[in-house]
Amino acid sequence: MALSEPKPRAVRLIFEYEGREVRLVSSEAVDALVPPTDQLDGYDDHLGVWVEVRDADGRPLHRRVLTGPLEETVEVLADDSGPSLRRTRVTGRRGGFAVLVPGFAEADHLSFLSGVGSTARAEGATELARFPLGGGGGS
Amino acid sequence: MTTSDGRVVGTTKIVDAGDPASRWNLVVLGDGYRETELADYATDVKSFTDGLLGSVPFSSLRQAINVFRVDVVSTDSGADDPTTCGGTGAVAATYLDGTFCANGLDRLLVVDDATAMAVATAQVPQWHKIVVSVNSTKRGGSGGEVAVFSQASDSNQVALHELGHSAFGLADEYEYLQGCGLEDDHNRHPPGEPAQPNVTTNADRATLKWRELVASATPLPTTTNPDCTKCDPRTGPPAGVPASAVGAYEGADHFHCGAFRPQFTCRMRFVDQEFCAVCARRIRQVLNPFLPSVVETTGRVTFLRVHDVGTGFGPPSDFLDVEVVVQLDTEPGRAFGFQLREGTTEVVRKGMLDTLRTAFDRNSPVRVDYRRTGIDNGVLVRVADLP
Ligand SMILES: [Zn+2]
Repeated sequence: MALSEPKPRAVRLIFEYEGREVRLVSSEAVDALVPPTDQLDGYDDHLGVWVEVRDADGRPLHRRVLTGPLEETVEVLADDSGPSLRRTRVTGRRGGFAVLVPGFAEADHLSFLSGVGSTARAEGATELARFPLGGGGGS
Repeated sequence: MTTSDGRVVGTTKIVDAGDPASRWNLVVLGDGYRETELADYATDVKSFTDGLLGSVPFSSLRQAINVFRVDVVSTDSGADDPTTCGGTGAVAATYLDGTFCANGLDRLLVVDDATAMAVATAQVPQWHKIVVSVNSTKRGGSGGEVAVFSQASDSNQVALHELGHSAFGLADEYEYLQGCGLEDDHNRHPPGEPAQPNVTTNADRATLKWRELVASATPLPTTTNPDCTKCDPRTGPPAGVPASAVGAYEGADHFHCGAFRPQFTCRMRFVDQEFCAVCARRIRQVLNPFLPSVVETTGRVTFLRVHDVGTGFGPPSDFLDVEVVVQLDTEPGRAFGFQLREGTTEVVRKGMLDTLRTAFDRNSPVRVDYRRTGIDNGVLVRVADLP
């Protein structure tokens, strides 16, 4: 469960990215249910990219692992007829994506984090970008 | 090749599970359909939706999912197909600017994400996921926030794989990046645990992240790759291990060794397969909150057990505290049940048990209503025969 009861409304943030540069395009309140958070602790050694809604003290209130945006590969069918897929590395990939989060009253900011695995555990995940969620998550 | 090349006609809720404020809302957009082709578009969307809701685990989550079809008319039919990738050179003026050959890859079919999100937001403000059906029979598609599929025969399957990534946070379970034998830097997974729920670098029985789904008789790791410089050449699980056995099979997350997948195969490995048990559980975990509190389902009883008070059923994290346990053929991996002796409704509960016993003996279908209690279980509140 989340640390607090979310306000009834959710917030959808729409981003554009190019490579690992992320730009906030819009932030809108939405009257929608939000999928449950991914685990909120015990991921210090995790690899990947995720977003966290954090309070002013930096505590995560909601977390979602991202698959797709900010990756340096794209997925395509591997051959002309088979059921296999493959990935190809691309540089400077561009696109847009949305993040739907609960409208927590305590929400302070949304962070994009990149986890680099256990070899760098002492450093923890790297914060790629941070966007303010003032006024109770923008709602 | 912009929004001046067509218009948005309107939106139809083609699968209605309830108020969009409390359901998971899938929005389908079309690109490269002319006004005279909107009937084809409706057929294409129905085909995709039927494929989605007919597959595991979505077939048991129908009451969580609304599907909205947004009719978008384009000036031209089809999508751009540049000759630089070996395409026909077709240039189509379409509302969402669909094109093959994105990033120089012939089968990478994309649309303008920003326009797709703007259309979805205007038509269905509560959208959770957008997919775009492109009016072309050429094989292609792409993932990301806006999943794109064409009308080639297996494109719907690719779209389900891409939904696995973007809507449910699943990783690829294949064991190479660009292809088996095409790379020498994907032999061993780097240290660290992938953040996704369906691949792992840890195959220890006590701490494996899907350990609750592993039978004690299944060896761990279940398979190991004998030569980490290559993809594992096995074509099936080892002798004595059923194809459906959840274990830890080496070769996953784009690496030949050092990463494990939960089942021998899965839609996150080959697009023509069903989602494995771990991926299916993850999808249910994401969508369960969108189900009504009492869910209706039907099926044949494959398992019926009556036991003593307090025995219960299931792993500690998803425990069902019941005396009567039922499983249905339509709900693989899930269990339902009820307390037989509780409260003043014992007669009703015995009647439910009798109905289940008769249905089990005759292999006849039943309808059950259950109250959601966990990811993979529920408490039965009503049981009825089906004709
Ligand atoms: Zn899987």
